[in-house]
Amino acid sequence: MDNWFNLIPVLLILAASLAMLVFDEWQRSIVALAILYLGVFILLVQLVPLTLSAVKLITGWAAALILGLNLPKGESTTTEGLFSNRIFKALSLVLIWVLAFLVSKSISSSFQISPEIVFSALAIFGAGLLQLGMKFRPFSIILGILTVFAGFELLYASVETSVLINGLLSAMNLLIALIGSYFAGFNQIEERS
Amino acid sequence: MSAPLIWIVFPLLISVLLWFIQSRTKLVLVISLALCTLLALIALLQPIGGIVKIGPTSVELKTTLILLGRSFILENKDRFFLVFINFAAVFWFFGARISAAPTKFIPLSLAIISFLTAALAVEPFLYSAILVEIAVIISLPMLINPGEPIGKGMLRYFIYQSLAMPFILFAGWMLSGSQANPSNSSQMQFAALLLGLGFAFWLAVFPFHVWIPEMASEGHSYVTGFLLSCLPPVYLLIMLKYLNGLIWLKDAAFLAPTLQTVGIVMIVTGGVWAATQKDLKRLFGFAVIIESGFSLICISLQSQAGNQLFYLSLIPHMLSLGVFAYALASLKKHEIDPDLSNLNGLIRTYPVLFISIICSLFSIIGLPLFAGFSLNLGLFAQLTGNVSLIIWIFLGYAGLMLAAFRLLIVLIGYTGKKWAITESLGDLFFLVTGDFVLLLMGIFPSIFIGSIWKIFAPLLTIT
Repeated sequence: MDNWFNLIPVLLILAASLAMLVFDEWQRSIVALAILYLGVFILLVQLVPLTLSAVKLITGWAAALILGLNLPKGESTTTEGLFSNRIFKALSLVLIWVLAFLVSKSISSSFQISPEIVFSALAIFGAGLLQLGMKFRPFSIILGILTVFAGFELLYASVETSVLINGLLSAMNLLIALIGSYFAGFNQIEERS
Repeated sequence: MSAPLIWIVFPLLISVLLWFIQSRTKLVLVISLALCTLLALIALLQPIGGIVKIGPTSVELKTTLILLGRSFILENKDRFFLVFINFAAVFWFFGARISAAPTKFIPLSLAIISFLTAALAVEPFLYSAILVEIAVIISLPMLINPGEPIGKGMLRYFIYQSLAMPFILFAGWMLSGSQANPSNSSQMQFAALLLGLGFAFWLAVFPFHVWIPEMASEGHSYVTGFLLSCLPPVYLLIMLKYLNGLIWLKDAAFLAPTLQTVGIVMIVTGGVWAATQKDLKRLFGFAVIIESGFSLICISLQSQAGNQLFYLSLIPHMLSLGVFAYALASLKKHEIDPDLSNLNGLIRTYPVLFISIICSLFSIIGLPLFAGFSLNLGLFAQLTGNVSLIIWIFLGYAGLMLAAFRLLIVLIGYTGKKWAITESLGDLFFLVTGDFVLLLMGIFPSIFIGSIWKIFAPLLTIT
């Protein structure tokens, strides 16, 4: 790692994605998502102009806020709170990190981006995929898709600086959050049924 | 005035307006039907790039709209799509009210059509994936109904469609970079793999197909029918745009066999699963997969005849799926469970409804006298040198045919009830017209499909 300062955002991202996967309480997941966007912003600012990375941060936080304001009332089920369940999820995520670490160097050379940024992007992308695969609740799926897109945008921002495209990507994130808040009302119905 | 302003921005603005007045269903229906008919007719009659004369004033219809440094371009070759999608919208909106589709269906569908048109118009075309994703997000509220739980199929639809976007964007970026440096073959192959994955998510290629039958079995059948019949053709048109835009990919030796294999896999898996289905709604989902497989094989031919077959098949495919979806929505209206075990002898009570389902299934299979027959015949004529491929296609269609005949046997089972037409006038009008057109297309293909082609071919610059 050439820039040791990058260890801070990388650790922030890893901790946030771990928290999102392991904890089932919506509030904690939303806070973790906001922290993840902060970590992404610190890395992104090294690749693209400050204004563009600030747009991504603000959009991400706005998405987290929209979701936070409309949290589903139904809490996690008791089985998901089991310690072994959490250990399994954490180990799966560690496996994803190892995979991301192994491939990050070769990708970074072809993209000409520092390996820690590629590693973070892949780790976020992988964590999102894991979330989509392990938790099948509407709200978790929204979080999972937002996480996948956060990882993707971190990598894609280095190759795409078009205002329209970045604007559309931001609009897409906000739309997903709005859909998430729309889901929140229906989620309660599902819990009851 | 520019073409994208007319076919993208204007309908989008109208869709926002319609969203706020959605409770006034008649007004919304009239506005949407008038708008889409007008847009389709303009696309059909007015060349893009020419001068439009309205009384004493003349306005130039420009091809390009520049937005934040990127262009949206609609040219004369896009007129086929504009006519097709707007007439398709007229068809779907027409049945919305009588099929008791949710009030949000028309405003959101109009917005979806605008974004799908934008996806085909955006330049560089690599960005179309983002606009498609926005269209998918907009479609989600249509699929949820108050008082009903959020279905797994809808969630899977959202996941798979969303996962396609990163893969396609990255692949597009890598391929456009590789155009300048074609010597880096490993990077190009990797990009082609990513692109393939993205399209596999979009088109629900096995094993990513689970969401289609699940989504079809949930929610309002007419709404899911609209999405499942409109999205795959747009994805395939985007795929054609990629193939035409990326010369390396178009000339790649692996392209035709890959597309053919994927198409065959879709037809065979769709057919085999259709044969085992007891739920008519899920059967509809597998019919969609089979239709997409057929289109993929047409594209894989990489010839003028193949492209012609693909474009020609869009209209009968849309019509058969539309009739099928409408009939399924009517089943719900009459509180009939679409499971085979509950349909014994019901053709006597709802003859038009079930005959329509059978007609649309027969048309998708391509039985003689139905719209799909001449298209399937055309495809087989193109594949004469490849017998194994034809056998596989037959196997897939045999599965769907088995499902159709099993349904027919259940429906004609004797229950002692007398024959009676109990469908509403609206149902009768929509379904009988649909069946009639499907049959006419099948009985007189040269008159109907041929004349449609004569109108559309100049719009595509394929003769």
